[in-house]
Amino acid sequence: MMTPRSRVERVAAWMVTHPKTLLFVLLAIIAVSASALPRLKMQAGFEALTDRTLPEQRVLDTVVERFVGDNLIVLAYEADDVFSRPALETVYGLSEDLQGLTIKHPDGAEVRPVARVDSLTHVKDVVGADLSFRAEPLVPQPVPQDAAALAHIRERALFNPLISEGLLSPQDPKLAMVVVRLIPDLSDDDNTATVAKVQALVEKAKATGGVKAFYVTGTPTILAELGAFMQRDLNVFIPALMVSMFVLLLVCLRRLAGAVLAFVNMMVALVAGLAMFPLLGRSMTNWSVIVAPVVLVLSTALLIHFLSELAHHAKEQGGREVVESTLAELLIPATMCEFTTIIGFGSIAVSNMPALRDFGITSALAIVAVFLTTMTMVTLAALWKPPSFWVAPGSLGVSPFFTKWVGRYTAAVQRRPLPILMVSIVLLVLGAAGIPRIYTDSNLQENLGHATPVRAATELVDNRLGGASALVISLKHDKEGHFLEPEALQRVEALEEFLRKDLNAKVVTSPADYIKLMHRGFFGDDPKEYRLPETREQTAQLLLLNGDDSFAEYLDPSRGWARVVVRYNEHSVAKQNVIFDQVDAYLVKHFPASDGYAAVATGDNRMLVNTIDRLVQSQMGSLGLAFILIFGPIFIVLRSVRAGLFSIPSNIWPVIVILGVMGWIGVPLNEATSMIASIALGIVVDDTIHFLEYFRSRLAEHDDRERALRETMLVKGAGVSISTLVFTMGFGVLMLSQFPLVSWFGLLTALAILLGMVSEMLVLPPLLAATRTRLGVPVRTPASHPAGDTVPSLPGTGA
Amino acid sequence: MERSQNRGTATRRLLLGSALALVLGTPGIGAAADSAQDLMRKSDKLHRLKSEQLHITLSLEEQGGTPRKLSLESLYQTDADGAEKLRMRFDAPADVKGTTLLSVDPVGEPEAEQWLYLPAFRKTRQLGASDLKDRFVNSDLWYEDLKQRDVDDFAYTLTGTEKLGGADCHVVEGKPARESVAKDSPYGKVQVWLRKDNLMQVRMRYFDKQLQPVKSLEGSKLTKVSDTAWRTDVMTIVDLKRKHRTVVTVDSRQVNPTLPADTFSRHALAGP
Repeated sequence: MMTPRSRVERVAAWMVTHPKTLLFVLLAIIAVSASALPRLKMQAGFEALTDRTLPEQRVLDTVVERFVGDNLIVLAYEADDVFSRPALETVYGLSEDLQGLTIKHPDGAEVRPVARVDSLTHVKDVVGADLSFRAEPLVPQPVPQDAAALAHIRERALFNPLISEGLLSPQDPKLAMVVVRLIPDLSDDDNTATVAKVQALVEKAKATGGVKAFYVTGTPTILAELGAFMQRDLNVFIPALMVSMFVLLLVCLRRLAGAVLAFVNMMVALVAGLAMFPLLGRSMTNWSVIVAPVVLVLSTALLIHFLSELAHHAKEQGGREVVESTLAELLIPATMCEFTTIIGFGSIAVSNMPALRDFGITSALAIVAVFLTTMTMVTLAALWKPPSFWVAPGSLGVSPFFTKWVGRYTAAVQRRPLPILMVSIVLLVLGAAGIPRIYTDSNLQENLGHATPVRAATELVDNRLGGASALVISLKHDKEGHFLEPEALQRVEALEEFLRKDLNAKVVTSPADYIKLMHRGFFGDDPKEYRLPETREQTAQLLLLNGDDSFAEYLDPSRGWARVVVRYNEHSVAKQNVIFDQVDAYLVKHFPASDGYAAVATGDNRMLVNTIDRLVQSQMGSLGLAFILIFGPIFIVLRSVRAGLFSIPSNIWPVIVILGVMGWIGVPLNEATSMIASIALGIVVDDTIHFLEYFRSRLAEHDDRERALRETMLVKGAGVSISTLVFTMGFGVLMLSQFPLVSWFGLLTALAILLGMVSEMLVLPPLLAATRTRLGVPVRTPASHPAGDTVPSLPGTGA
Repeated sequence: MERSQNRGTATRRLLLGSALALVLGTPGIGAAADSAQDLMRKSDKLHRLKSEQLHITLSLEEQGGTPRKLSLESLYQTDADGAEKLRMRFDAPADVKGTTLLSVDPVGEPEAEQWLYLPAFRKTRQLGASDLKDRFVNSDLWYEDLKQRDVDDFAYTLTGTEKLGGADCHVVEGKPARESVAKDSPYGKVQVWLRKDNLMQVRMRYFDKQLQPVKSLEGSKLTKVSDTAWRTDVMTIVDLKRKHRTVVTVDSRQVNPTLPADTFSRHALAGP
């Protein structure tokens, strides 16, 4: 029976004897990938993460279907006098333009994305006199010229709470806003196109001079901006990373040809990796954008490993043999390392969120593509030109300083492994102590960065106009006409009171507000009559009068289903969850099912928060699976339970410490940082595999455990240092992102990989020394000793 | 008199019961030589009645919801001087029973005067001019549909012919004829299916100012109610944006009844 090693050797031999096949494979991958790449689509936003089958999403969908959606673009504006004729005319023109806005799909189909526009010129006022009553536009057309008429409009606007609260600033008379409600279920692409058109209309309105400044915000705007960030990020990451990798390789390899080879390899890997998205019919999202740097880093790390081994073997062999022996030695650990990285990403694929599953699968396959292209390309390169053409002799070797330092450290590890282990345990405990401090949070607004116009607009609307985030409360009763009853309307009124006082909501709108307004209008605008009617009949009859379409957004025609909308200014997921919990508790208590109610707090914003929550939970959940999936195969490859067990501590260590660091410095788990542990584990475990495999091979070679450890520290220590440098640089580039979520992810992943290197020095060697293990390598009998090989006598062999 | 002869729309006609005259099969009715404008004028004239009393059910139907039904009595009269009067009193549901709308549209006045009596308050209020895009009692009928417009407010062109329910129809397209109408009306375009045999409007499509379809109306259960006038006793109006529809059903009709003199007085609003 053929041993695994001989199988690897046969594969290596096949590779070096079939360069044309390899070239064909490589060219085929490049051709397929290059033809698919133009179809690569970027998708910002959360559309891909929306699971329509979730019960809470179905509830929201029914509310939206019965009433309206709550996807709002908010255009705050500043004018010397928002009730001046120029300002009103500008707003009128803008509102009309917005109502007629259309976007075009690539197939030429036109979509009208705006469902409704509310502004001072596009809002109804209820006006009552002694014997008359009417619902009429607040601002007549054409806009009046005389000061008295304009003053009357201001007076009316301030007298109507729905207008003054919904469209004006309580603190600043120079501020007002236009609220643009988009149709439900706009795709991310349509959302981006709509926001761009709205921005263009705002520019056109600004040019009229009637308004001093516009501030555009709202969730659709924020999501579109994040999409633009993503695009800009990619435009920065890829060149920055490629240049830095080129420089690094030039320094390490000391050969221009080697650096150029690495550069070409990066390009090919990038094309092959990113092509996986269109080939699988997927789009790149805010999350999968990290695949690009990962692909570059992995291809470079693999290339360095190969060239380093090639250079090492070139000392003893020449011609094809050097390539064959390099491949034979590298194929298993390299495959294993790629495999663990694939598992790191692939573990995300177990998510119950389809989009995350897609991301996990696509990323894992992208890494497979990178592995294939890199291995074929470096093999072909090594067959084409001798190793010295690609890498200068001794360049990837070990410097005297490094040798000296490692020698001293190894001696210390051999002499006193327990104190070093204690240091690592203390650091581990410190890290673990930080873990309970970790909290889950994300903040869309903070993700925008500080210097962006959207961020400034969001803050202005939050601070001076009540906020642009909306929570929708659906109050459904099993009896039609229920919300005509005074008692039911009083409950709605009390709910509003609770939202304003206890939750500090700035703007709350309910059917009760409209009914009170109509009641006041019916009684000649007497302020004392701004109250709910006394009987069901009075309410029902007042509602027959209603001519304002917007009322249908708050009470359905059966009068058994009401909708309350709360505008608030909180963006933290964690804090919003606290608000949602309080609202839920209130609804359970005051709108109980036992009284016939089905009350729920929902809305696009809440679904977004839920999505982020589920995303984080799902990613953290995948960490456990990553452990099993990564370590399981290591046990098999190392062919030893003992060796497998020794691979665990040095990999758990950086994961615990990085989570602890996040806890101590207060970085929350969010949709990006929750991926760090799985991804870092998939990468840092590679060093452990190389370390253990090399240690075992050296031990099998000469049976000297201390020498094997020293050699491993020296050879693999250098490899670990270079690969750590590459990975740290790769993820460190993400710190250039304007998107704080991504830059924190880059920083912490880079730190996790550095910690991985530390653990390879601080945990694994002293552990091997302290336990005096041979990792399942059998003690050689004297007969099996190769001639001339010196085997020192070792105490506790086979530990 | 020209104004009163050339006013009305299909929806308004049904609800307000305007007097019409039609001689089925009369030579010249709907003749090919007639322009679209002439056809619309003839249609308006033929189906006009002097007075009409109807009992109507409005069924407001939300997609996935239970229909909400309103029933009302509608009384309509055209005075000798051309003034049009309308009184609508709700019978059901119980919580709006007795609510009464009175509309008087004297000749020469730009807008009708409207009064509303709410029995729950025992008070009458005059209603201001409504936005023509407002909904009438939360239905899919807009005030524009009830407005007494001159036929010539819209310029009609013949766009083709089509068979509808076995009957040949002219397909006529109308656009606001004047700037003031274009500004005033929420419709940028209407399409009308006019039966060739009796010039009755049996289908309408409404488009907004951006010429996007917003509503449709289908008339069915055609009934001849006088020598010349026909009515559709069931009308289905669909709001294409709201996915909401209103079915208007005539439960009973009296053509040209003699109505008491004070039927349309403000004192009669409170009812018997």
